[in-house]
Formats: sequence, C-alpha cells, structure tokens
Amino acid sequence: MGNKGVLLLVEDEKDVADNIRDMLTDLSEKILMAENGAAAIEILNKTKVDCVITDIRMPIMNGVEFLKQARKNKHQMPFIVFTGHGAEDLMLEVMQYGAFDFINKPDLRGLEKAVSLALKETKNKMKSDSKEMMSDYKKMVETQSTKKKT
Amino acid sequence: MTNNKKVALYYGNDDEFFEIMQRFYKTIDPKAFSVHKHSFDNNFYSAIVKEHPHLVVFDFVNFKHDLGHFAQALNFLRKNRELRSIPFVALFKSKEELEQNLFLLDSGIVYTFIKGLDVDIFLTDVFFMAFEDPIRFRQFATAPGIDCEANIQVLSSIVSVNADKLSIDTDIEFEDDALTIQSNLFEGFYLKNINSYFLNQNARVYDHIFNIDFLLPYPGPWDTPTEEHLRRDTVETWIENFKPQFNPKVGSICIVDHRLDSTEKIIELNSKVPCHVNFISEFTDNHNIVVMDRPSIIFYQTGYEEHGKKNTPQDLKIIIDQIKHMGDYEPIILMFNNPSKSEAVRQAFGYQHMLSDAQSIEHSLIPEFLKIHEAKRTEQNKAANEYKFQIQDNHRLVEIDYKVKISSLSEHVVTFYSKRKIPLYVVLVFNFPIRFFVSIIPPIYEIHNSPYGNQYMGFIHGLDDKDLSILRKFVNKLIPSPHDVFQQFLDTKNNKTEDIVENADDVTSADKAVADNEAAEQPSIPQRTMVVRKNPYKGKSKL
Repeated sequence: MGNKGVLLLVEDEKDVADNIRDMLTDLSEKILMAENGAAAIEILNKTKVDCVITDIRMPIMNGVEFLKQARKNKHQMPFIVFTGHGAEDLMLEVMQYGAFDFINKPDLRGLEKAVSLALKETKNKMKSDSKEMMSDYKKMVETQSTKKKT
Repeated sequence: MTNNKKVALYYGNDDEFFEIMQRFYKTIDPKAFSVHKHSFDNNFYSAIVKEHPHLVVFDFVNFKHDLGHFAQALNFLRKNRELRSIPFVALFKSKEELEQNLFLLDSGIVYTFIKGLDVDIFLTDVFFMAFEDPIRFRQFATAPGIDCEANIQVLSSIVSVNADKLSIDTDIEFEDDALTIQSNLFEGFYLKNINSYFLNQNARVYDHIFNIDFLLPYPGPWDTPTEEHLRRDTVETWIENFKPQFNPKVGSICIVDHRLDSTEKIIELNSKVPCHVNFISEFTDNHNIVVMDRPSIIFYQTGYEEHGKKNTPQDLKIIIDQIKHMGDYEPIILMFNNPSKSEAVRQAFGYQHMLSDAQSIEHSLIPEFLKIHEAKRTEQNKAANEYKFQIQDNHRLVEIDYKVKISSLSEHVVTFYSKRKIPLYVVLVFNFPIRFFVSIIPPIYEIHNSPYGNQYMGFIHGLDDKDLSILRKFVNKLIPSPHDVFQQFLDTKNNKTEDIVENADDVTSADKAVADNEAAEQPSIPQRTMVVRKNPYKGKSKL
C-alpha cells in the first residue's frame, strides 16, 4: 500500500473532476467525490479520509467555509486547495484554517507531488515542531546566501 | 489588577513617600484603590505585566541599577498595546538629576516631580492622568488672556545619523515646516530653517508618534559658505570620533507579537542579541517598520478572530507587498501560530522567503535563528552606514522649536493655542521665564479653540523650589497686564531671571496671588471643583 490513501475530491465542474480523478488514481486507495462543501462535510463526517482536494470557489458552500467547518468538526487531515486568478484574498482566509498547499487551476502543476506528500504526512502522523522549522530555516538561509554570492 | 481594585505601583526605597501615596489613595477610597511597593531590579517589568496597574511611579532617587537597561525595558513596555495606557512617572532628587536623565522622557516617562516640592500637586496630577475618577485640584493664581506667540520646544530623539541625514522621532506631525532644531551633538550643530525630507506616520524606535527624515543642509555648489553653514567634513569628523560611543548593535529583526507576556521575553531577548530588536505589539502600530528599518528577519505571531483580529495574515500581506516594492530587500519571514504549511503560505503571499509553524513564537529560540543568520547579517550590514545612539545617551535628544500662542499661565497649568495637533500626554519644553516641562492633558477646566488653532492644556512639572518661586513671581507680574508683560518679557533682549527675582520681598503666597487676581477683575478662575477626566480631542494620544 505504501502511502496510498483515501482522497476526497471536492469540485463542481464535472470534466475537471474527472480529469483530476484520473491523475490521482495511482496515488489513492479510493477517491470520493463531492460537488460542493456541504456534500463534502457529510462525507467527512461518515468516512475516514486521508487527504482532501478542494476547489475554493464553489456553489452552496465555498472552499473557505468548507475548510472552516471541517476544522470545527475536528477533521485535521491535509487540505490541498485549488486557486485561480483573483483568489488571493480567499487564500489568506483559507490559511487561517490550515492549508497544506495551493494548486493553481487549470494547469494543476504540482498536484501529484502535493497529494503524495500530504498522504505521507497523514500516514506517518508527522507533526511539525520548531526543530523542523529550524531545519527548513537553515536551508533557506544557505540558499539565500548562495544566490547572493552568485 | 488585584480584586478589581485600581492599582498604583511605586518603585523605589522611600518608605515615607510610599506611605504618603498610600494615605492619599486611602483618603479617596480605600476600597477602590491599592498601592503596591516594588524595588528596582533587573526584572522590574514583570510586576507591571502581571499586575497591569493604572499608574507606575518610578523613584530614581538613589537608583543604583543600569539606567540603559531600564530605559530599554520601559521602551518595550510602551510598545505593548495593553500596557501603553499606563502613565509612567518619575521622581528625581533635583533638576540636575532630571536633566541628566532626560532620555527617560522619550523612553516612556510622561511626567516628572522633583522631590521636596508640594507632593499634593504631584499626587493629584498623576491621579488625574491615571484614573477616570473625580479628583479635586487646588486653586492657583492664573494669568489669563496672555495671547502672545512664543516658541516652545518639542522634545524629540535622533534615531540615526550619518553624514547625509538625520532620522528623528518626534510627537508633532511637522510637514513642510521650516524647522529649527537644537541639538547637543557638537558645538555648532544647530539646524535652522530645515525642511523635512520624509515624514512617517509611526515613530521608529522611541516613545514618540512620528518619524521624520531630514537631509543635512550643507551649502550648495552656488552658495558662498559662511560660518553659519554646516560643513560636511565637520559632520564626518564628528561621526568618526563618536563611533566608539554609538550603539554597537548592527542590523535588526522585527517581532510582531500581541501577547502580553511576550513583552517580558522580548525585553530579556534584547539584552542577548547583537542586533536591534524592533517590537510591534500590533501590526497597525507601525506598518512602516520594514520600510524604515529593513529588519533581516521578521517573526510574526499570527492572531486570529479569537484575538480580536490582531496581526492577521491580511496584515502580513501589507508588509509583504511593501517588501516586494522595495526591490533589493528580501527578509526572511517566519510566521507562527499558523496552521498552514510553509509551501501553502509561500503560495498565498507570493513570497518565497517564508516559513510557517503552527506553534507560537518561542522567544528563547530567536538567538539560535540569529546565529544561523549571522554570516548573512554581517554581509548585509557591511554597507550599512546609519549610526544609532545608546538609549541612555543624551546626545540623541533634540528640541524642535515650535510656535504656539500662550493663552494662560499659572504655576500649575499652562494653556496655549496650536496650529498643529498635539497628541495627549506629549511632553513639551517651555521657557517662560525658566525652563520647565509640560505634559499635555485633557483639560481640567473648560477651554476653547480659536481661529489660531486648537487650545491645549498641560501640567507644569520638572521644577525645583527655586524655579517654582521664579515662576510664581512671573505669574504675579503677569496678572495685572498679562499680554503686555508677557510680550515685554519676550521682547527683552536679555531675558535674565534676575529681572524676575529683583524684588525678593515680592514673593507672594498663593493666597495673596488669588486675592490679587480677583482684584484685577480677571475672568474668574473656576472654583475648586471635582474634575473628571474627559478627552475633548479626537486624535492621537501617547497613553
């Protein structure tokens, strides 16, 4: 099984949803689908899900409200959120509820990698701590210094 | 606060003075007020953070600790939004001691008292500044109707200096004014008719409201240099000679953290790191800090709705947008108390030099972050040529001349009109007829604006008994003909105090002065009534 897991894909455009589902088949045990946040919440409340991939702009309940409600219901799995042009304000709102990554629609670049990392985190139940930040910080400083020298 | 009582703290070792304070507050209402005594030590600020008093009195007589450390701690306390409303007042043994420690007045002290004078005035004045409860003021002879323009001085502080410019923190929004700035950097360093180069709506470092940059006014290529002109080589030589005395700290970091207990940790941190620590309690207090100071690392404690929307991601976006516009500046931003992953945060802000952590800032780890950054800091600061002063160095203090219209004067309060807005609790310098300080307060009796400008009232303080006697005599001389006498005083070329004290027998008591005042048919001084603090000014306040 490795790091495969149960994904929940929340997307109101059927063609896009089908395309994404095909992209992620190899990474998942199962891919559940919902067309809006309200339907997605019902699924989360009944089924164990390892990672959620959701659009940010949706009818009935948008991505922000969906994430907020999910966290309120104690669902702590990683959320990968689709964004598009003009969604910067919504991204800032989403951030306060815990986003794992943002992926740009329609090109979806980096989606598979993000899902893979998210599932790894869920499976290994990795929690970030200050040591992780310190380690990432060291790398960042070194990269910045190298860039300045070149 | 203890049991919902309103608390005043006294720091010092004068038991007698402490008892006087206790008796005063007991007389007002023993159930409502409480006075606690603390000694000065390196962690004096802990009690202030814990007890959250309404008033703090620092008794500097026989103070034996590091005044620089004290002033720096005070400065940080004043940056915390919750603690900022507490008036910090200082007691000194003499005027000389006050002048030697003048730097305390822009590190957070808003009122001073020279011990030995009438303590009743001190107690009622600071009570009025600290509490909204009614208080009875003593009546003093007042010379109203003075109506004369005169220069006062705005106490300000040099934040940084180099051969090209001065950056000054101040309390008045001088914009497009041709200013005269008196400083004690070195003899001959006197700036006249200098215009501001850039005005910031936030102070950079000290306990002021604004920051202004000034270009040093060297003679231009077509000017014939005179003795009055400032010379660049003189300034450069002075800077070179003064280097050992400048603040040795290099570079800066910025910590944005609204939590009350963080203030203590930041004060402790400041003494452990080799760079300047900019502390902002709430982002809106100083959103220009990155532009003004270019901190190399920004530690941002995110606050969300449960904290009343302080230091939100949206606030951070404003900082990052400023950074993006600056081009050659790429600080590392560490976002704390944020549940989103670093990659998500970088995407959301469109800024790559960011990390995110769901935990809150651990201030004890900040030195470790700095060590890792050291090589990069050293590189960055090779080019830095701004020199900053030690906080306890009076060389950094300047006084900016500012013209107002004096309306009335007593030995207790002065009223005047000002064209520019003056924030409450700002400390100004007056020289009529001797040097004293004035803290702007909500009025204790009715005042009115005029076409000249808003009318302000201030408590007079910083006088010793000799000064008080001179001021009293001056007021008495003014009373029969306030405008003419005051104008004459201003017009006199040699305004020596001997003129005022020439008739030593003329020392009058306050009672006689009151009688004189009534005889002169001046507008009546308001009867002694209970005064409740009301703020008529819409605008900034230092508390």
